[in-house]
Amino acid sequence: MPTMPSKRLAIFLALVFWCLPAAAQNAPLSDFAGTYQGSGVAEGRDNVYFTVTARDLDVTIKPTGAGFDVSWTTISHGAARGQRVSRKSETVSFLASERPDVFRAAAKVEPLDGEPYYWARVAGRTLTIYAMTIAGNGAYELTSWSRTLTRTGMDLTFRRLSDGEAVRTVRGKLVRTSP
Amino acid sequence: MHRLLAVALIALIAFSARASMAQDALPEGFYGHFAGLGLSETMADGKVVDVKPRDFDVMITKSPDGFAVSWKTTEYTIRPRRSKLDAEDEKIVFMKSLRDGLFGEKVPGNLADGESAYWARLSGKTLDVYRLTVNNEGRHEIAVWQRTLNGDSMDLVFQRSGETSQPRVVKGTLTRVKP
Repeated sequence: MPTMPSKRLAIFLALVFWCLPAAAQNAPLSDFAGTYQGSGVAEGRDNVYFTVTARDLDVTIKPTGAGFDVSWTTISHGAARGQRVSRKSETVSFLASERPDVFRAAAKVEPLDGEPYYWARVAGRTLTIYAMTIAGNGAYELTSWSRTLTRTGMDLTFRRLSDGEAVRTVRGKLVRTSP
Repeated sequence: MHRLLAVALIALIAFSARASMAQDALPEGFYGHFAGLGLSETMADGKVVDVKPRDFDVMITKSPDGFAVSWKTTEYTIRPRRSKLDAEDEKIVFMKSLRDGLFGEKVPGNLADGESAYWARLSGKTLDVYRLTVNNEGRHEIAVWQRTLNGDSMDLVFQRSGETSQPRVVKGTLTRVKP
């Protein structure tokens, strides 16, 4: 078996160590900027029933000087073909926190009055937005949207937990329609 | 004249009862110092992977517009040459919210910057205390202490879940040691 000359080995190891931190780096917010459109399938557990519904998912991400704005629209379709169930739109502004790649909502909220408490994080090529809501009976609902960059757009995984129990998961694919 | 006096007396009694109810955020039985023992079970892939004995101390006191909970948990690790004792102390002051049976901190913690957010709910003889924490990477952990009063005895169920650590369930019974 041929042995690697020590000089080549040193260069090889230097390249490996040079590449390692680069691989561990988180994507800058500018990589997520753009408008994305797509659809997904929602798997839910409403009461004792397990439901599967289709959803159209649009999102726009705009980096700002100190953070980013995100606007999304979700259209849920019923079991019957073409039946529209609901349309939800939301815009949230995030600012950098004291911790790198962790963001807090720009607006002050009062979670005990039922307002959602948002935060976000970037890990690798995934931007995850969290919303924690306290229901009238004190139970909490934790919703997260994880958006992972792909060559054509992003993969979305939406999860909703109610008092720790998974009640809904949506997986979808979105295509970048404008930068 | 007698009728007028009777109406005034009834109004005074009703006002005093209302004022007394308004003063106490929790049923009287919750206030005091409780101590006891329990077992902590750490889970992985739905299976219990570690069991440790724990000592519990909790003190619940009245405070303006709410109540304060201070607790100390001592966990024992018993292994040859590796036995140790870990203690954790916390004290949180809760204030009434606009929603009945819900309590929060006077100034909610800023999650994205590393502070924990606490809230509590009272449901009959059960007091749930919630703590939401977000770590340096933006990942969350939820801890719930559920304390159910049964005379001078208090059943405790603690549950921890989220993205930062293995799920943990602790169950124990505490007894009132001081009023």
